[in-house]
Amino acid sequence: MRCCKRSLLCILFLSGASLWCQRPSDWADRFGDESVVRLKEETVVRMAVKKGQLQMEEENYLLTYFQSPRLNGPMDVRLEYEPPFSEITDIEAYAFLPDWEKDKYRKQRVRDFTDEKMLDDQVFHDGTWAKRFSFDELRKGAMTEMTYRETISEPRLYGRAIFQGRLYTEEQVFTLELEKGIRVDVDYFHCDSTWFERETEIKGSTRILRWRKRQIPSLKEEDQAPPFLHLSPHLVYRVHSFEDEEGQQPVLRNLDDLHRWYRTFLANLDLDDPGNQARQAADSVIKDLNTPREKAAALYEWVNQSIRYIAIEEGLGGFHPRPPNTVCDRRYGDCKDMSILLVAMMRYAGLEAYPVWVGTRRIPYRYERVPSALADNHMIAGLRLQGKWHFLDPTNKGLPFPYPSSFTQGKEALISLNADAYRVEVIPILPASLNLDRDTIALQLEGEDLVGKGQNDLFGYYAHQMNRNLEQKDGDKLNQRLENTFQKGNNRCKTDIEHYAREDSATVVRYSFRVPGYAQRLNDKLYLNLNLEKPLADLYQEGRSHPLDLEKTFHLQRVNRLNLPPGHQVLALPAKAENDFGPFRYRFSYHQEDPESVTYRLEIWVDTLRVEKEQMANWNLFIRELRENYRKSLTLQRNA
Amino acid sequence: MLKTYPLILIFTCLPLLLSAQFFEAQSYDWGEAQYRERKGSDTADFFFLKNKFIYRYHFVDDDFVQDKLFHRQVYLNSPEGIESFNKIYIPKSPGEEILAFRGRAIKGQEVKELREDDIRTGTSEDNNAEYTYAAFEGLEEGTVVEFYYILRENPTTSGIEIEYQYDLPVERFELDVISPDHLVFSAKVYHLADSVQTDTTLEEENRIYLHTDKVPAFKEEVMATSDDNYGRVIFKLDQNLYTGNRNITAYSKIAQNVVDYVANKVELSRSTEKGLDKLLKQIEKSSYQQTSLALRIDQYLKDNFNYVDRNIPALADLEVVLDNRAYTSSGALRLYHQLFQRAGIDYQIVYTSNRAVLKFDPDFQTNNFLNDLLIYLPEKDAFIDFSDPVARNGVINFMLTGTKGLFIQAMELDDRLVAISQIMDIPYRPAKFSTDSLLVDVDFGSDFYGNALDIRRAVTGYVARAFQPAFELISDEDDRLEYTEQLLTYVDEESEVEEIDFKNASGQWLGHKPLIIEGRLKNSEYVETAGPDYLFKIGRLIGPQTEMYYEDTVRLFDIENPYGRVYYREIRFTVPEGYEVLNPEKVEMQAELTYQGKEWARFESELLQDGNRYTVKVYEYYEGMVYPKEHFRAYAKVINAAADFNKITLLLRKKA
Repeated sequence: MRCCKRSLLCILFLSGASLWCQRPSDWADRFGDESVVRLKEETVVRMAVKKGQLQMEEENYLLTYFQSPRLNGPMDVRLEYEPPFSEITDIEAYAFLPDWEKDKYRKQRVRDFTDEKMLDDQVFHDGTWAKRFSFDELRKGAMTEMTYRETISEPRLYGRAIFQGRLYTEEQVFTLELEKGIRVDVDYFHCDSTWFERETEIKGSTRILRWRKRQIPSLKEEDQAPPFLHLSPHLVYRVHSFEDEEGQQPVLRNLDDLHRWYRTFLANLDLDDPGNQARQAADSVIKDLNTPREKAAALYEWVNQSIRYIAIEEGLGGFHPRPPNTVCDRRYGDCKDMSILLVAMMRYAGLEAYPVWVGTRRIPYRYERVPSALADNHMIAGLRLQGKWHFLDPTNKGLPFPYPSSFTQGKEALISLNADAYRVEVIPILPASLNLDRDTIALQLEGEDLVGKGQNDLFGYYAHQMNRNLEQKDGDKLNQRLENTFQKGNNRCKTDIEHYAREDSATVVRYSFRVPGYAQRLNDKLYLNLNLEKPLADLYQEGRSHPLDLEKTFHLQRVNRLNLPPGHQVLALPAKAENDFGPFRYRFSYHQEDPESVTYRLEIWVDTLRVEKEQMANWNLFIRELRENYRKSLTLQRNA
Repeated sequence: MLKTYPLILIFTCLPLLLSAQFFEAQSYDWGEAQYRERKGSDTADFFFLKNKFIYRYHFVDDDFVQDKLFHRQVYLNSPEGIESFNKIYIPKSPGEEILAFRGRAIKGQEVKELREDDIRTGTSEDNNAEYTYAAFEGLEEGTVVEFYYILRENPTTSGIEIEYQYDLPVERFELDVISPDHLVFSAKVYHLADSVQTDTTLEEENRIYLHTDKVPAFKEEVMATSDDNYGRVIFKLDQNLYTGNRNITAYSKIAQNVVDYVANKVELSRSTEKGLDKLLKQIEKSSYQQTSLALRIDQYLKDNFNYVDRNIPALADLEVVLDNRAYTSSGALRLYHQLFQRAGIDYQIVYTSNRAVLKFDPDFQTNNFLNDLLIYLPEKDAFIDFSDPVARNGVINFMLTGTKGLFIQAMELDDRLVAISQIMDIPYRPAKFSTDSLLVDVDFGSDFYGNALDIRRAVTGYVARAFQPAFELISDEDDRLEYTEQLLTYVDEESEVEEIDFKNASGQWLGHKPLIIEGRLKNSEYVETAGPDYLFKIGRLIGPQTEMYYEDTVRLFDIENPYGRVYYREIRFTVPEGYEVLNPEKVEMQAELTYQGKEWARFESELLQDGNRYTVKVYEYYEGMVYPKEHFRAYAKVINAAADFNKITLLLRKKA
């Protein structure tokens, strides 16, 4: 691949030369309020076959303009790679520093590069390394230019070109140079082929495909927006196969190839025998249990509670689960370690359990369109119980059995049935009815003080959230947190937590509270707003660019039963109100079931994980109507 | 003879034995693994059985080194506790070396020790620091995690601080500082009753130590500076008996070093001299409106240069600084010095420490208290903080005021600048310096639903500090608007901004002219319905208020305010035709805090009526910085008066 080296330097030389011709004044304040602008980003991916091996390398070129004085000074650059799958070499980096008086650029070469193993907050230990260097003297009006080469030894892990990021980009080019006989499939996400200027040419035995886009605005960041890959136009390319002297060699033609490759990671594991320690653990967990469901739930709970998530994902170790017995002994593991331990313990207990690969909701792909390692990033356990699939994630602490992790809902699960067979199932999105948050309060008035005793029953992902809190033993901290959660009316509320427990089907919190001066008395009348909290009131979306993502569907139920103060009767109750916007709806009602009490009932259903832009007007109407109804009080009158 | 011989031997060996008892470079005896189950009453997620530090200063091949031993035993009492301690990270600065590192997990008789190949190293993505790290195996509730490491650090003799009080109790804390016999260390304990002892039994080494059982858990109190209040010990090298040097970290010595560094040791090339002259001219010609050239210089540098909070030696070189328009603290001091000297501006360098983090101690002089650098302008009685982009015109971070600092003045003596230093106050600004005035005109609309609020808010001093400079610092227009809109939506987060306009929206006006925001909010939720009546939530229009309804009134710490401030709010409304306000008297409230014959805080609201036109005036201020804890109840009363006002509802009823 000597030719590649030449062309790399060629790009650098040509563009560098063109920069020399530029003057700082040509660029000054050309880009509005952008702090940094990507003037050009070019990636060339070359593939060739040598000695029966597919060789892949990526050349990258980045030209960046700095417009804000806030960035004056040094800027660190980190180019990450992951041995043994990739390696970065041939980095060249220059800064072009403006001399405003002479209206010229001075070129400065970066000479110091380091190569370091990186630590990540999320992953305890992975194989990420980084080539690091610094542009020491950036300043307003400066440009940086860099090129580097990334040699990729495992093409099944790579293959994406993203065209919209955080910087405004003047021009971006992506090129595939494929030697004859290499077949690459390309797919488009959040764009189509017409979005690009496309070129195709044949040079000798090489086919060149090029995608170009100019003036790409930066991707706006918003709270609760869908993840980056769901918004940014990008290409996914995948090596289907290549030809060598022995004929066509498959790489990732389809999902069969991907599964076959994944199965090699499990080749040395006996999924039916978890090993001595894990067997003992399984025996003791299921010893008095009869039904498969009870056994499955108990084994899941045991792995979920006893094994801590610590990810050690270096090189190929990032793909090969450790033996279940080792994981059991260490009491820690990453997702693949923990799910394989669970699968093996379940199979040992006679259950039908399988390893499952899945992409979290961060990843927008389906296996059929993207049968490559880009489609997934997580491993869980698939359990088939009475003909129904359940997707268990032992890494997700406190998640009740048999729910899938909320971040895998709606995603495809690649279930490995054996070395040769698999099936793809969609992990269900939990309906709102299963994610119930039910709060029932008995209220009374003592003068103008509102006094209540409440019980909160939490199901599904609400229970999960609360279970995570209950993992703490620090009673003070936990009480403080719960007291804040169960503050009613306003911040004069004093809440006492009386009981909390994880029960069979729900997690339950019981509490009592008093809100001094909550009701308004005027002469013979008492005014009282029974909306003691205002769910979703702050979710009105003004001028939003992206859809609104929700972690879960949900059903909120609030039932506040007020015992009327002695000698009082109801003078006015707010009217019933309800509206149905399809995936989101609400119902407020006030009933006087007997002369001594009034019952307020609020129910809100949100049965979607994403509010699309076209639904946003309805969503806002929904929120506004909720807010309007939160502003309704009832009136009591002292009997004459 | 026979009897005395063994005694002599014992006495001769004692210092060596004792020294070995602490640790030698790579060996430390951490004892047999011990375990005792602790069931029942403890409700903590984990608790420390032991936290032990030994700092050993000694010579290795003529190099003076500092070896730190840290030995910890922690009992894991819940899944949360396991999560907190199943991984251990040891940070290491460049030039430092880990001499030893061992760890084990103990439960009952079972001991699992870390293996060599469990220990890894890497560089953090966040802070670029190098870490050695490992994960413990076999952890369950009730496991004791124990580890120690010995780190050969870059020697620090000018002050090491160890915060040894935590939110949970510590059963045993030990600190030993061992040094060659000619180096004498001293120490001071803050906020706890412990004291540091001197060991007089060693012959060849000095040792001071603090060993204590049952360090109480720290309990956070609202409106107290929590970080500063944690129990801690600071130690430093005090004397070198070989050189006869005493008070080694005395501030007067540090002051001269600073002046040498900033001025005496700086040699400028001709081009740099020219560059500085030119820069000064540019600033003099600039259109900034500050009342003094010194403050204009600061404003200009803030707008055109960038402060880099890292140690990059090149950015202390003025030639590079001028070229790059960027500086570190050192570069900034040199640049300000050069510009001030050229302009004939009298100034002083000030070292201080954020009072919320570590209060400046004028008595125990160590570098720990010299964390923040300021420039003092005697003529304007103002401070410059070159490291803080929002500090303009003397409006510096309020946590650097109301404390003391080391003021260093450079005086010319025989072609050289000598440092004159003294510890002086950095004054706390009076409440009237930071004001927040809110004028709200309520428009109920014809049917109470088309309501809107016309708001005019004017903020000054520290209230404005968070906003006025943002107009230059946030370049993206949408981001800037989103940030500054808070000044209006603060009144009601859920409302929508219909119009907004800013006046004096620039950092250059901070401290001189109020930032004024005028605008209209729609769909605010201050009107509720109850049958045919309307509930006017007038209290909400002053925005959310801090409350102290249920705080313990028995306190360990005084109340400490970030800054004094005055709030003035005026809410005006006209009751729609045909309606009347039934309980207008509700808005009249008053609470004040008075002691030592002076009023220190007040909340007061009054109602004025002119036909169906009402005006509610609310006045609130907090003058003091520190309110003694015995006045907590009265202080909370003033705070809660505002929180109570926030809940006031007026009833509007259709006239019969």
